[in-house]
Amino acid sequence: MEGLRRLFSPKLILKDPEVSLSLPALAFWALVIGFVRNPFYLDVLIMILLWAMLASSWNIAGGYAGMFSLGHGAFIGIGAYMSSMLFIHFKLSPWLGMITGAVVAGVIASCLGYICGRLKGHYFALATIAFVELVNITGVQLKELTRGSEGLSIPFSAGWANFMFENKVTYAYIGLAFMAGFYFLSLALERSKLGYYLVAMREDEDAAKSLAINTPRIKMVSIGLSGFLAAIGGTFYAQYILFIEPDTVLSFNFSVQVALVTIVGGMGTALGPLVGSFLLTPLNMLLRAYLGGSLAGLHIVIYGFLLIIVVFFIPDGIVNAIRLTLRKYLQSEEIG
Amino acid sequence: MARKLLVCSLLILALVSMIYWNDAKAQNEVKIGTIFPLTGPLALLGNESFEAADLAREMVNERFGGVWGKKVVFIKADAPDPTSGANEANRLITHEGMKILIGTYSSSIALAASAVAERNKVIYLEVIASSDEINQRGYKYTFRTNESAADLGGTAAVFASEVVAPTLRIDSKKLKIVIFHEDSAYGTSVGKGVKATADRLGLQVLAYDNYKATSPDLSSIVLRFRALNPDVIIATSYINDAVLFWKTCKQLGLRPKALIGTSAGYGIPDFARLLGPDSEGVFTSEAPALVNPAALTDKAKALDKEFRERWMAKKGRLPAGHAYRAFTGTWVLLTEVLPKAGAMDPEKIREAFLKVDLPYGSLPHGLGVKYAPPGNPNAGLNERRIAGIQQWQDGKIVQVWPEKLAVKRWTAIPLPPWK
Amino acid sequence: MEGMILQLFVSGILLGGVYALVSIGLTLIFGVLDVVNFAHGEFLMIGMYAVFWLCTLFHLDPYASLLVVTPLLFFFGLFVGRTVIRQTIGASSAVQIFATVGVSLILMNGALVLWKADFRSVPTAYGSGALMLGPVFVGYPQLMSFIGAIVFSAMLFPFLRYTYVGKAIRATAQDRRAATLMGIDIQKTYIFTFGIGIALVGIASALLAPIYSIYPGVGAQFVLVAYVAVVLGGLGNIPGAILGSLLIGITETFSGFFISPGWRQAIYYAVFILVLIFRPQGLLGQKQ
Repeated sequence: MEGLRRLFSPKLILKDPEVSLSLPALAFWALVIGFVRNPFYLDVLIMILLWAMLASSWNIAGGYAGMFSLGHGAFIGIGAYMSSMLFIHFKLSPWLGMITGAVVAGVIASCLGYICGRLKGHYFALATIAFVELVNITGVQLKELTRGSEGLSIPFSAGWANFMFENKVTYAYIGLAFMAGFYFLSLALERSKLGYYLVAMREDEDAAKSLAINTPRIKMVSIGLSGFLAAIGGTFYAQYILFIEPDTVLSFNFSVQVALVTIVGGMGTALGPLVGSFLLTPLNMLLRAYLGGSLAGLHIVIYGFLLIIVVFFIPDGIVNAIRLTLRKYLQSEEIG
Repeated sequence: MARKLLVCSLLILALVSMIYWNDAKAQNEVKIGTIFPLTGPLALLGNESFEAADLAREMVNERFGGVWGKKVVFIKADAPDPTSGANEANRLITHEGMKILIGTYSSSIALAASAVAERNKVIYLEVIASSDEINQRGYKYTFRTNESAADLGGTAAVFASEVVAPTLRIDSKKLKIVIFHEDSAYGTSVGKGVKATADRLGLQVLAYDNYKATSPDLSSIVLRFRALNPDVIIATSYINDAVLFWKTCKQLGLRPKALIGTSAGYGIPDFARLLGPDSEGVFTSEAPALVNPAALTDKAKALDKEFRERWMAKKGRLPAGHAYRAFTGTWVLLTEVLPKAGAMDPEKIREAFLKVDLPYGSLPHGLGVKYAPPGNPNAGLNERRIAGIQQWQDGKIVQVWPEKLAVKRWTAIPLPPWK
Repeated sequence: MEGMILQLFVSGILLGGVYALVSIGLTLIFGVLDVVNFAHGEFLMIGMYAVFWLCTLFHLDPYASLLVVTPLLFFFGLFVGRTVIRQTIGASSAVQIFATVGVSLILMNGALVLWKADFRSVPTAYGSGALMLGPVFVGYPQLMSFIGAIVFSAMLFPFLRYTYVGKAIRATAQDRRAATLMGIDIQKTYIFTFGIGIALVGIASALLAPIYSIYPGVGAQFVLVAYVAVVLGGLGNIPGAILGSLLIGITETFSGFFISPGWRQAIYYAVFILVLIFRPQGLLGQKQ
């Protein structure tokens, strides 16, 4: 796994504008969180950060590795359930539970990547759907362990060790830290050897194989990493909402949402998931808040239309569209 | 490409700004937040539950001019799942400033939303959902007037043991039952209640199965039960699966001596509408509805009469158990609790809740009201709640048990062969 | 016990017939257009509402309404095909899946807005009746669905084999580029195939309306199973979709009886993954 060792080379990282611009942006948001008192806006912000995290994790497999998964709910759910069950039954701190869950999810994801690695495009997606449905049914049936569909309520008791806080601001900072971590990880991945291999594989798998790139192995690594990170997001979700049930996290619908955020934002870019979440999360919440009370279902119809519009006009996602526009503009500047 | 981008962003901006336009906030009103699943798979009963609560609000505004001399207004939120339940609860509390939330019909949404309410020290009143856990977390601000899953499930088992078995001249410890339930939070919690009571009463439980409510086919379950040949089937289902199950039983020749459903699918008018004469004789354990007026106080009788008339005018049919639950829960809040509290202050409202003391028969469906005090394992749950047994007779739901609430006697034990 | 096994087998086949009705249209669409249509179940739902309204407003028997709903859904399929689906052909998985998810959300919630969440049903005289063939019970509506699945797919064969359009569809499914070189208008073929696929869903909705309550979410429960059946049988392969559906129906019924009703669906999802890994072309498909 020398690809992973290469990921953390500081020299490559600091010269890059994407990185150097993001540091002030990070500081900006940290300040914003500090100043926002209103718990409602904090709630929206925390949900944005949560979805950005989840989407970033999906992006590693779906965006960078081209493994379009519609079953990421399984990994998110494994993370959420593992840390919660370990906390409730063994009083293990959710931080440690989070790492445990992430490792388990990562291993399971790698296995899935190994087993289904040969499947292309749609078939892989369908396999992941079957997978998340399987995990869902398992979660529901193993009632002794997971409390089945009645769901797990996490008893609230504030404290750093318990990963639970009275003050939403703390959650927001942690969310920001995680999101930033995932973002920089994606950037590092892009610039590492593994990242280049992934691009090659995405563009033309057969050509990549002929260049002696071990495609099955990098697929396993990518989806393993993706599952690992998704589970971390899952634990954050559990610790914030304090209630998990199979039909929410371990579901196809949840998985679709995660993928959607990245697609709208821009697959295969580090910024994409963040942009996607900043746009879609408040949109979703606001649509439901202001129209959900009137004609039942109207807000989802609008959401569906928006989906279609976005997917048709900006199929590569917002970040890629902006990049393309910038590039064209810069090129025409050079010429003109 | 840039032009497309521009068009797109303008479109999105237009749609989004449509949403930011806010209604002017009126001052002289008492505002209460409501969270129900108005979209999604639970939409049908989510909407009806809201309507029942809303009817109580309307009637209170008309009869008493509202609460504290001000009209009551509901700030309505849609939460089809627990995550949106938590988000919407948060929004109603922090953005809209609600101090009371009413909800939600669904147990899992209730658990998520009430957790948010508790952390913000805001009142959460559950009016329909049945999961026992809602009141078992030691919360101080969560109250519930209606019966719980243990009641619904337990009553079905008790009825089987105390009424069905003797009527069939079978020793209750020799009564063969199968228990099955749909596998969501609701079905699982009620199913547990049935099993716990059945075991306690010594009934012979031949099978304890679950299934997905959206299954397109239940033949394998019906055949499984047919092979076991039970006397009584106790089922917990939503409406579609309840109907599918019974139709499949008819097709495959399974006819137990009694079918006892538990609320949800078995208690709503659609059951008889969709099954026609095949619904005859089926029992359901449910919040009492259309009870014997002799069991009610005069005030409750009058209230029941008006409730039935207005519901009939609104929906074209008489209210069923879930409608009674939502209506009465809201009614008690608006006419007993808030007046006692005197102000929109969660601490005062909490104390007011704990002071309510109405005997059995005070509510239109026969319940009394006394909320369990803190320290009680079910703190906040109404101690004077009842789940009763209703039976489908002639396409109508009829309260048949317990005796004091019964309007008619039960029939069809054992069920006659399929026609 | 033998009687029970026989009954389980028959019930399984009848369930397979229900799945087959939905899968036939899907295998055509997936096989020819290579588009994952997540809105497939919602088209079924729309068809069932159409049957309901025809029944309620014009007192048409659901089986007779088949003659109206099928062309109705055909044109609706053409419409959606032209506006949305056409843009997704050849596009990435992401675009396809999200476009059809968008359609699915619009249809499902549009139905909710228009017709509310109430459960409608289409009453028939023979609604819950059953036939007794020896020791085995056979439900009437299920039998009709099964027969319908066989009859209508049988009708597809001469269409695909002998008509120009049918040949164009098969050619496009076999080799897109060669078909274009042969002068076939691919875009039109795609849209037409989508229309036919949805028309088949229309047939399914007329045959399934007597069995299920009709509400905005009724289609969703069929989509995933249909995909399993389609992949199991082989993409674009109609007998394969039927075979796949029957196998799923039988497996589901037997595992519900012998193992546990709660784990029924898990079995076919597991089978699905196994098939994808070991025989991705499906039981009757050609190896790519």
